[in-house]
Amino acid sequence: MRNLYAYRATYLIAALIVAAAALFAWLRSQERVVAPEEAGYERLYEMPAHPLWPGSLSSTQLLSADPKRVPSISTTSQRH
Amino acid sequence: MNRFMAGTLWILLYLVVVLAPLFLMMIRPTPPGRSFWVEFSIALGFVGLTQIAVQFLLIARYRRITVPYGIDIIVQYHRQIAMMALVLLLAHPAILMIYNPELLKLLNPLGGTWASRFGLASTVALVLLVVLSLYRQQLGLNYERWRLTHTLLGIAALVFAHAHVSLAGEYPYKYLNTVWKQVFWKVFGAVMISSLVYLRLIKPALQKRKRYRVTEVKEERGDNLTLVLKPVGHPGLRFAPGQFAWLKLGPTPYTIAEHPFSFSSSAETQGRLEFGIKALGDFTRSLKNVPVGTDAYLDGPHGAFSIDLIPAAGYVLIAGGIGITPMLSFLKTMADREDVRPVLLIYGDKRWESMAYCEELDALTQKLNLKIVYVLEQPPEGWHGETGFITEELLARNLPQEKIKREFFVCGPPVMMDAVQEALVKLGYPLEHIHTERFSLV
Repeated sequence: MRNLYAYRATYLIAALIVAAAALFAWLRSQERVVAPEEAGYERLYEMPAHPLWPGSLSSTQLLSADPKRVPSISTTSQRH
Repeated sequence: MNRFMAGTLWILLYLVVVLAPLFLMMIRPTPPGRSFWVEFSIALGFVGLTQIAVQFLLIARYRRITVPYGIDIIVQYHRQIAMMALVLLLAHPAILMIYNPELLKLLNPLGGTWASRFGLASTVALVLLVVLSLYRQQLGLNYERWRLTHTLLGIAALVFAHAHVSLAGEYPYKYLNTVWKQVFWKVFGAVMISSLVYLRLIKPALQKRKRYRVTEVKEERGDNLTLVLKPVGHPGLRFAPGQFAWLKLGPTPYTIAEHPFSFSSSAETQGRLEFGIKALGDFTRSLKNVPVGTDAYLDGPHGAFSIDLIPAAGYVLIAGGIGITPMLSFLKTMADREDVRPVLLIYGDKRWESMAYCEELDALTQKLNLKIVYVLEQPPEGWHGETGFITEELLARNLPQEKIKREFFVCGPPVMMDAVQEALVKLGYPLEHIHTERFSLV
């Protein structure tokens, strides 16, 4: 009986180890293993242009754009 | 803490240790991420390597680790997980080479780098180690030589693999990219190998203080004998009936020649230890010539095959050949304890002449609530008992009909144990109540 439980436990341990290796590989391949502050920047880099805001820029365009050409966001002007 | 809890905790700790390199590699600074298959192959290499490293810890016979499972289970796990680790370590380069066939050139020791050479050497050592273990008898390798080779190949595989890990990967794709990660990795390997120091140096030093002396070598029927030991200058060893110990004979405990044998004496007689031994190999065949007065050293007790660990209202003991040894210890201990619980012993062997300990067993029927059924494969003329093998029909004929909680203990050749276990399950006895001793530790 002990041997049977041991066989089952061995297969379970082996499966867990391979699953953990696969999870690690997936996380690494997704470059998800980052520090929290860097994770924030990564999300910003990936941000697309706003689909409902005409003339909006994606995060990449925003970073490379000439600051003078970036539309200003003025809540007061929208009220008028 | 009970055995189940302790066993579960050890498994969790094992997983944490084996997966430690994966946790380590996720701590910043980390190399840039690559494709899933490249990262997967690297992860398999790391966990395969830590599994090999932990093997040293598993076989060091630390009592805290072995007690929850029994050392036979640890050895079984050691064998199985070594196979798995080998598969993972072979998958590591195989995946990389399928992903990038240019890496096939690393298989040539002259054409690769030092990292690939160490990786190759480690893999070769490991494959050799597994092949020698699986085919030891077919290759005619004796136990002592195999053991020494096994240890040396294990160390070589681990050291080469560590060198491979330290050198592998070019900037920025280097996982051990900080000093503390390299130190951690080296200390981890060193701690695992140091288990061998415990097993081969510290344990013998402790055994030296607890010496035994051979006081009798009794020839039994068949090719069996009983080796009797007495402690020298200490009270002896406390063990549970059914357990075993590794035995070393000779003037020093610092020897690689040691063999596991079951106690056949009562657990209540601490000052006189008996081992039932069948002449099956070079060492066991030489035992009948061991002079009285020879020094002996024991590493034990080990094992979880014991009536003391599995209480019941009654027992059914099924033995084949020299598998009678732990059963004899059960019965002698029960007799010394004046235990009145019912016991049925079914004992099979080839011939009546080779059936050891029959007289002692018959004497025990006077002291215990014991019934014995002898089963002979080749019965003599005029034999009225059971014949053939221990089959389902034979068990159905002889097993007690009273509905009390009985535990079944089975010990003998592996084929016989498998057949008996299957027959008992078919007869409706739950697997939880059937306990076997797979004594093949080599």
